[in-house]
Amino acid sequence: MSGGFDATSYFYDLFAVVLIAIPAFYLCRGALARKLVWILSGVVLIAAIAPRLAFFYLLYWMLIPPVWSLLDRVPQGLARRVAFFSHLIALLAPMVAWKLLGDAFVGPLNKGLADVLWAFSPTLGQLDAIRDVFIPVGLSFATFRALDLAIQRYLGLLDPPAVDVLAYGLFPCVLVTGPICQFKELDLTGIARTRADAEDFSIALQRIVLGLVKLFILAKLLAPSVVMVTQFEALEVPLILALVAFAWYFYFNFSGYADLAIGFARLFGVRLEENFHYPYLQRNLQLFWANWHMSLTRFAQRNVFVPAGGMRARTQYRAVVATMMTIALWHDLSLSLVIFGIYHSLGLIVLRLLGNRKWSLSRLIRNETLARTTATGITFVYVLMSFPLLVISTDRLAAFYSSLFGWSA
Amino acid sequence: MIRLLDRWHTEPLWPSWSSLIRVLLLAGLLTAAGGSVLSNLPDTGLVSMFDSRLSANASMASVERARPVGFRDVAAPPGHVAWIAGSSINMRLTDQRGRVGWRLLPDIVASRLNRTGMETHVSIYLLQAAALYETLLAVEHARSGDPAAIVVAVNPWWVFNTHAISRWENLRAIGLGLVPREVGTLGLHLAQMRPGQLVDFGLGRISGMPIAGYALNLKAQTALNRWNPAVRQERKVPKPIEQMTGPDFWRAYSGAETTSEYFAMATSMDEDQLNHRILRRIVKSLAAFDGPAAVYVPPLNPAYLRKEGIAEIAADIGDEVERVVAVHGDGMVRFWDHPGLHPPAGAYRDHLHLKDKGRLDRTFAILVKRLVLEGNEEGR
Repeated sequence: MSGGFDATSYFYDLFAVVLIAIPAFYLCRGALARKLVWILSGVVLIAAIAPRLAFFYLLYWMLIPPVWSLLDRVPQGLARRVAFFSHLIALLAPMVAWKLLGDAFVGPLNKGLADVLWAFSPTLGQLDAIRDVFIPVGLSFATFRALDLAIQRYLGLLDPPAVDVLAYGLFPCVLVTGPICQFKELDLTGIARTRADAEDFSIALQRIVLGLVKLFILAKLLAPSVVMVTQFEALEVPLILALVAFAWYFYFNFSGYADLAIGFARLFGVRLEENFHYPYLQRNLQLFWANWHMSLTRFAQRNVFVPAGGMRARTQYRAVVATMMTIALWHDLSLSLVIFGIYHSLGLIVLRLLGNRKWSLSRLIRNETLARTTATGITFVYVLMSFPLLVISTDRLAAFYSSLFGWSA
Repeated sequence: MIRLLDRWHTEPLWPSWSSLIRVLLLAGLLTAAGGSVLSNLPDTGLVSMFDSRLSANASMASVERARPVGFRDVAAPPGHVAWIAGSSINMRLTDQRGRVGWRLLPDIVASRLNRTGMETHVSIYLLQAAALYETLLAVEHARSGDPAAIVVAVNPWWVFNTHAISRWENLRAIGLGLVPREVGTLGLHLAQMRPGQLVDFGLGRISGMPIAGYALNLKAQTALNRWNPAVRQERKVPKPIEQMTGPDFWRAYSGAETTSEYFAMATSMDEDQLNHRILRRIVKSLAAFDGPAAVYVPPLNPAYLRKEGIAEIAADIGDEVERVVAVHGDGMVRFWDHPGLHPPAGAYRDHLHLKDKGRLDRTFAILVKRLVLEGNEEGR
């Protein structure tokens, strides 16, 4: 991802932290002690990447409970709603600033945090200065988890104490690479009852191995495709091949991290929900999004699609657009991602319109297997065509697609 | 098909503690066996381009930084000189036939001494842009090899740079391969290492497999990139901050408008700073060494020194290193600042690195010879 942040170092760090945290977790019988093990593990994991980042995340999650206390004092009604939305904006602010301003935010953020560490302890400041990581790793995941938590509390679905907020925020398995797990998935109320279970460990081991194979073999082999797509002007092989390789790299890399998170979490007895479920084998775009980065889709469904009227016929299309724009802009705040959101919204709306008219591909193709395969192929190609929008800047998009379809001279 | 695939990772195989222990034991055995095979393979790749008849232990950091094996443990003969330095000893020289090539200063010095009848072998501990902590590790490592003398170069740019007590890539490269020999250094080591590196370190003692992963990854990426012209194109694209290395970032965000201003800003000779503590530890370690030792600061290009403020900082750095050597060296460690160690501006290819050795090899040959002989006379 960046200078000092890479999959190998991250995996070794997570492995080392969990190696110590697992026995500590099961030796501690009390809920508070177990939550503290998670918090401490999370801090160590992120501090290993850069101490200034650990300071940032501690501050981010520690500020949430006092803000809630203040919100509770605001009278019900419009004032409470305004205060709540201000809170959501504050939670979103660092991520939006990062994605909107890029270097102009990342530079001062790192410098500012380093200065605070330096003022606190010059020794810590000097140890922090040698870390080559400046990207705010995990910020997008942290932001959406914090938003989800805040919304659920506002709706009265939960009211966690401060230590639970920290345990959720700093849960080491999902801290850096996601998924955007819900608060309830960690089952903090039952944490003291969790026992070491052979089946959990067995499943965990399989998922970790699966994640390692995806990350370190399949994704590594396909990694050159990223540069091939972004520097398509210099490419000597057909661009479509590079794009297909990139799609698989993207999947193996992203889902590999998710497998590691799910596997390592299972070692603590935590059953995280799936984040990827064979998205490229799905038969239509709706199924693709229900199986691709599922934690983000679930977040958008809960917090955007349903509130925007997605369950009502009259407002469903508006809700689809709002949901897809949320998903798209989570990746980056750019015109390319706006186009990405519109493209997928259109695809989903067309699919809904066809569905409403009871139309399906099997009307054209009688053979069911062939119809399914064709539908899967069409879905994959539709999704594939949108992937360049994730990595190519808007000013180069026309050149990219011209090159892809052979329109350029 | 999805249902079939689902079964693979949702249905655990024989979920019992004994089966898990069997799996872990098998994984451990395979890791150990793999490590054994790897350790018996000839070292075919990533070999230093500075390998020579006269030097051992040279680590070509620009290639090997991603390979955390430390300095290669090549058995140096008794009576060798351990020479610890950063890139200042890399010289891009033109030979008499007009061919340009890389040479290492200690190699040239050793050749010169051999020609004069003083049989000399140098063990070079080289790490590009070696910061002070890495120099300390190398000193402790060199001491254990029982050399006749130790020569240490401390880079003026890094020695008191508060943003770089060590370099991240260097630390990864040597932090795992070199075990600190002293308890105080171990604390500093653990403070800088990431938890994952400690796992590397522990497993690396048992098997070469986890560590080989870095080298294999580097090799695979290099091979994959070789036929990918897009990579060459990408290298021309300016890197965003997120992809900067530490020193580049701190320089860009120091608020300093010029390099010399940053140099001054990042340099601190306060005794409480980690760099100062590390330098004292280096000098004390050399003083405790059972042989002669010398420290020098490779001089900066005179043309560079003419830039505003640089000469003063460089002089202050030299003076402070000399003072630390005098105070903490117990009279056993020399500080070299000979007029012959200051090449003219034309000998440099940048602010520090040389393209013309001039009389440098001659001066160093004299100094090394004197150092070794004095050590012999003192019975050290």
